[in-house]
Amino acid sequence: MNLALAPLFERGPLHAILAREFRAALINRYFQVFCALALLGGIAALVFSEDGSAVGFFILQIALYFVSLFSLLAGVSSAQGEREEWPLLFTQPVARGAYVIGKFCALSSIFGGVLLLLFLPALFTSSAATLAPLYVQTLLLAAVFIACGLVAGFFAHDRAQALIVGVSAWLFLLFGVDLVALFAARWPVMQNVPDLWVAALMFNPLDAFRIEALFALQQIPAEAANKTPLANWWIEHAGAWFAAIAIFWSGALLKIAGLRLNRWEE
Amino acid sequence: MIATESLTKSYGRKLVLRGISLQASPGKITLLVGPNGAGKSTLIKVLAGLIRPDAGRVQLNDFNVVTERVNAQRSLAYLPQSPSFHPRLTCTEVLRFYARLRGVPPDRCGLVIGLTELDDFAQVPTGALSGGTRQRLGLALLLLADAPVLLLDEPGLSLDPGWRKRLQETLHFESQHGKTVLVTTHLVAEWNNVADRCLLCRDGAIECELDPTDLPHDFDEVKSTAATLINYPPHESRPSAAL
Repeated sequence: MNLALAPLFERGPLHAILAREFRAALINRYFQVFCALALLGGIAALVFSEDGSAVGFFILQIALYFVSLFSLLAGVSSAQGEREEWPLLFTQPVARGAYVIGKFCALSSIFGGVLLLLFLPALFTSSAATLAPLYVQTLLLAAVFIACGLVAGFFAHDRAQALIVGVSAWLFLLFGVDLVALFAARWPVMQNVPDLWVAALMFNPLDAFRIEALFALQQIPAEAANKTPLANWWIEHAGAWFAAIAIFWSGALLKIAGLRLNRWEE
Repeated sequence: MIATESLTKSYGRKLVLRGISLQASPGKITLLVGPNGAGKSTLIKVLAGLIRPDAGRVQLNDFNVVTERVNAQRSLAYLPQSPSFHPRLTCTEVLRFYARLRGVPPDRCGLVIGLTELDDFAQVPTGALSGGTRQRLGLALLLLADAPVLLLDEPGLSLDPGWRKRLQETLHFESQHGKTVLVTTHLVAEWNNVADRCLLCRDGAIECELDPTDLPHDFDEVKSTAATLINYPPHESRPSAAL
């Protein structure tokens, strides 16, 4: 392992942080509410969908609007939960980045488990082969928003500020990017180079997830739509692209969170 | 061993530390006293690796706190003025977490719980503890690490007189066992005859060394008790010689 990264992955401290995060999650009301909603969502998808193929679309909507929001809230809550403890935590012989890595790994693992509550009821009508890719993509989406919540939580001075920043970022990615893209479509430069417009959507993890899931679930042939060369490439490689963009966003956000903690002074 | 040389720190235009040089030796309790706003807490946070100095050097047991922060922090335990913990975790959970973080054997948690008489609060969430009990949990954490350097920032503010006395006895015991103990406080009189050395910090600088067996009740008294002042730093123990 790279020597510079080694302190981030020291086994003892990382285990301690993971164990504490799991324990804290068990008594965290966001997780308790999310577990209940995930199970209800999974049952609702099963009950209200007309046939097996519609279950995936129902879950897609839940993932887009609820999983992304709750993972963001979980990140914010985790980062802010011990804000006042930082003077004690940061005098321990542990690289500060280890707290970021530990929290991210723990929260992602917890979401991996909780998402099963959402997906398991759907197995009554849909095959595991259909649902497995959507499960992995939803987990990747959750990872991006956990990282986003951690950044908001580590930067903000208090929980209210962190929630405002985090939820604003979520709303911007959910609606704002599309609205900006819609208005930008009128600009001559966008009309001349439509790939710019496509690129803006490609880099938004929520749009990348939405496109990937829609095309995968509906099994629309890539050549069915009237597309630009970039859009054509994107749709053909939507799964790989979403995985790449989710890893990129998570990594970049974790790096920012680590830098923030390293520069923090009491 | 704590050694600093020409430490400076400013916040905007306000110079908080003005070239502080000091040395604290193992086996001794060194007291850093001074009025509010003198720079004591900033100095101890620099030593603990919580604040980066603008200039100067700071070493803990041969490690530079700025460039080798994690290594330096292996040899220190720090008790902040008002320690805070995850409010929904119990005292035992908090202690076990810090023990795992530092690689301390878990059975030491029980030992420090006993030393700080937290047995009745072991399973109580820290959010439900009083200020004094939380401070005792902070003391338990300070002792948990068994670190060679102990840094305490205004300890005992929330403790009752009995526990303040216990704290001083504990620190005396630790210093007798070779630990370097540095305590900041503005409650000078309480520490009369407890510390081995006492440095007066004022306006971001070490102004002088006071006689630890005859500490004044008020910092204003210091001007009129010139007989107790010893020039600081003593020439033969200037930190630059040790660094």
